[in-house]
Amino acid sequence: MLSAPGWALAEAVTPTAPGPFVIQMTQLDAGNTAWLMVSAALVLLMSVPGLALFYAGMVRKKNILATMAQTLAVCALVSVLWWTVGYSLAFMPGNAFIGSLKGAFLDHLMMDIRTGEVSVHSLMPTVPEAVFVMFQMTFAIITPALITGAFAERMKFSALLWFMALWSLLVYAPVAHWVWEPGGWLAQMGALDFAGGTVVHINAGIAGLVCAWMLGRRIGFGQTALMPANLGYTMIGACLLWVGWMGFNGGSAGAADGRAGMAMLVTQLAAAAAALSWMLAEWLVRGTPTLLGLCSGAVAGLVAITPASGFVGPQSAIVMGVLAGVGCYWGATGLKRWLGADDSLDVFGVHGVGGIIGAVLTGVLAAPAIGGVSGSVAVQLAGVGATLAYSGLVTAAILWVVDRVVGLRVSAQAERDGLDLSQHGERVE
Amino acid sequence: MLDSEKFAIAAHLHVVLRRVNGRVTDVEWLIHSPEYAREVIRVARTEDHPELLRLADKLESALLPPVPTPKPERRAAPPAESPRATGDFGASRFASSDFDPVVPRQRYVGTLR
Repeated sequence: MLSAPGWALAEAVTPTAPGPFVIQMTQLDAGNTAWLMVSAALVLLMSVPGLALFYAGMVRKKNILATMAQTLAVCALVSVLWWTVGYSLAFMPGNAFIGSLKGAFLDHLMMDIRTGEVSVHSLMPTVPEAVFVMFQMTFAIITPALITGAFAERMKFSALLWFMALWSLLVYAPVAHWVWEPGGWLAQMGALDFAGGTVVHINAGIAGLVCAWMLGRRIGFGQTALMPANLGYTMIGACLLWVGWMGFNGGSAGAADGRAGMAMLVTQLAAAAAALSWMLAEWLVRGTPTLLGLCSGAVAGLVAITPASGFVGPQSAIVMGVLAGVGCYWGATGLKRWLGADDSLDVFGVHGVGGIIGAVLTGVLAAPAIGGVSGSVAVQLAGVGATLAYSGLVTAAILWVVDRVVGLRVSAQAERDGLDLSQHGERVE
Repeated sequence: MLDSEKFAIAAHLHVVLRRVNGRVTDVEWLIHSPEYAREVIRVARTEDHPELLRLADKLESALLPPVPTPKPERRAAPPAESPRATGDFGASRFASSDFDPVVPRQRYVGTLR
């Protein structure tokens, strides 16, 4: 709970330049710090076990463990990379395109209980920088983890590790810097992305689509039914994502304040509206409202409201949710057929399309009374286009290199046996 | 029956057979070769093991269905036309979530959702 002295101290902390700076611990805000710590844990919960379960339920039984292993491995790998140079490249002041290496290995991180000094970041100046690093780390984890759904059931585990390591540093960190670091070129243009519609979802969506194209289709895709193993797992995963998203969007306010509260409310409303609109669209088109559709609709709404959550009110959230539910249903069905790629778990259809819908509508619906700024559709489109182009091209380049070094895809026999056995020597009995 | 369902039964039989008498079967080939399937089913039935017998029966009905007797050709009836007022969902897809058992859906073929 925030105390009155806490507010007074929080207001006294005024960053003079972008990036980290040192303050007295007494100037930290306990309420804000507690909320950001909880939010970081919530976002971590979205990846493990949320996303792992969400994806594991949609693959065939012989690939359940491999899908879970991929998410867990990405979580561990990106955490360590974030400590090495990831955070520094994304959030230390540098130029308009990339941060510097001044924060490599987090050497600059200051915390001295004897002198009472602690470093904070200018983006969240009332919480310890350690908490800011941790909170941002969870975003850096979930973004590449989302991509694994696009190439599910066919990528070599070793190739996945190489790809994720390179992608995290060469794609995620720069795009996060462009959009969120005050010196980034999209931030300078005024692009609005409250919690990662562009940085996380469009970025992961287009990367997933490129992966699906470059790895090729799974054996039997389009010819036989590739049955999801257990949609119960998917429902549990989707609900963990839904709950965790409160930290994802609410925490991005950087404080336990009214804007964070509004972000939570609009997050819930958009998810609910999208779950219903996807359900209705599916019911009308195919005659059956499915559990997978409800789960997918909720995630689509959460994706779409992400960039807007600190800028819009409840009515706009409902509009965004309804449009995202229908739009992403099309993305995962009609658009998917048109694109022709085996984006196994519809990473582009849900995250890419939902992210684009959210980014554009943020430009339309942003309310100055909530976020302090108005949006510009042109600027939002610039952010979308730049992310699609950069992420798509660099993802393709990374895949090309990894293919040359270790090969991207498992053998046909290994794919038929399932990745659980062929890649990990384990299986679900 | 979907190939994946046939495969699941065959895999289950494979595991139980291995556990009961140590025999190892080729699950992929079991699906593709009726002769091999017949032989594996015969071997499974030689064991006095209720689970093996059940799976052998199940696999036989999945892979080696009896040849159906020819039926007289039946023409599909045209869909009944019924007048419906605007906004009347009684006869629309909202009215029922049941699958049409006559026309199995091609679920999960080329698409997940």
